[in-house]
Amino acid sequence: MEFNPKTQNLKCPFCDTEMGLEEYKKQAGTDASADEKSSAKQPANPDEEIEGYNIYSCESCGGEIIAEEITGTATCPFCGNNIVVKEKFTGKNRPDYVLPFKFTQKEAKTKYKEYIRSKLKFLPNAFIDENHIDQIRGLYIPFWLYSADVTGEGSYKGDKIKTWKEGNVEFTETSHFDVTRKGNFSFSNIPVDASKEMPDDIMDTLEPFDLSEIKEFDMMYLAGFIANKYDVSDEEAYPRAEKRITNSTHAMLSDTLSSYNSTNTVFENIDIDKKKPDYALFPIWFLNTTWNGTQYLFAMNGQTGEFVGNLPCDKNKVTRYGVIVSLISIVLIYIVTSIFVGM
Amino acid sequence: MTLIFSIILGIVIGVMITKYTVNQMMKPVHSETEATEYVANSEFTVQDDVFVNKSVSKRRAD
Repeated sequence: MEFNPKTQNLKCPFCDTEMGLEEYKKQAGTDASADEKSSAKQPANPDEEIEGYNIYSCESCGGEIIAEEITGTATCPFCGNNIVVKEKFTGKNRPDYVLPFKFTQKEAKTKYKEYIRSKLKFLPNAFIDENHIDQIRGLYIPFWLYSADVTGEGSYKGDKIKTWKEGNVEFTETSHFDVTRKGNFSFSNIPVDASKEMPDDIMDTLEPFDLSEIKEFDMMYLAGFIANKYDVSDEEAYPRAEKRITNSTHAMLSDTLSSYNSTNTVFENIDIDKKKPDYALFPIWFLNTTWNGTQYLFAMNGQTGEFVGNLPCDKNKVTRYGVIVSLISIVLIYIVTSIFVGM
Repeated sequence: MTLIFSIILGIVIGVMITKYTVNQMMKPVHSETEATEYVANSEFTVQDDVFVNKSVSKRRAD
């Protein structure tokens, strides 16, 4: 069975039968083998270990699958069965939440084409003409969701400036203030990706995720997609969340000083009380394409459809654009300057 | 003189607009440094503004 993002049900790719997750679980409960068949076991023999990889046996056909240690789901190359490596998502490895896919693979391809069409101005023609997608993968990316209670306080020197004219004399009055600010702020569910292989900037750009649609973790949502266990621990990922919390608290304190013409910070203290983070899997479509020997990676938020990726630039198109803009600017500036000089 | 000034300024503006447009359009990936959209609650407990003194300066307006 595969999870269908459109209907949010499980669908059989062979006979198109669909059923809800609860309904499937009920059936699986009466037929325990159904759940077993969609899982894989790690053989007990440690001699079969390869560094960085694990060997699993498919519960459906018995075929052996070699996969990276962090791999959580795979497709059996022998029988095509979608399998979930249960131990990667149980016990202490069990995610708290999962955000199900809402966009299908077909929709991800359409979004990619729309994205390319919107960038035609600077894209090399050869890239557009020869463009093809090497690989498209639906991945559940592990994320830590950080929440924290923050106390921010600061002391500032603020100046308010007033000017007026009396006759031909201009007066400037500067009022000096001692300003104190203190506030309590609660941050909730700041996502930080917990995967070493995912570029942090791409993951950041795909935000925001709509967490009102988040579900309690259930392995059924993973069926038909790739999912990996986290390989960046909560402590390793936290500095990224901490930086965002600190910057945001500073910004909120600074926002209250907007009535002053100028301010100087005497001191500022931001105290973060971090709570235990939640572990969640978020849906991302990844597309790879190659041009001139360079690989380009694109990603789409599988829940909201937000699409990002860097593209190659055609230097000739950029130069042509620059020349046209410069010529227009020269003509406009010449006309405006001539009018003023002539006055 | 006007023509030379227009050419120099026009080229500078043209380069700046082109750089900005290319960056906006082709390099949309960025690292997030703030998290204001994840603020569930915010409350200021102290907002004191204490007047210290004032100074006045004057100058001839041209």
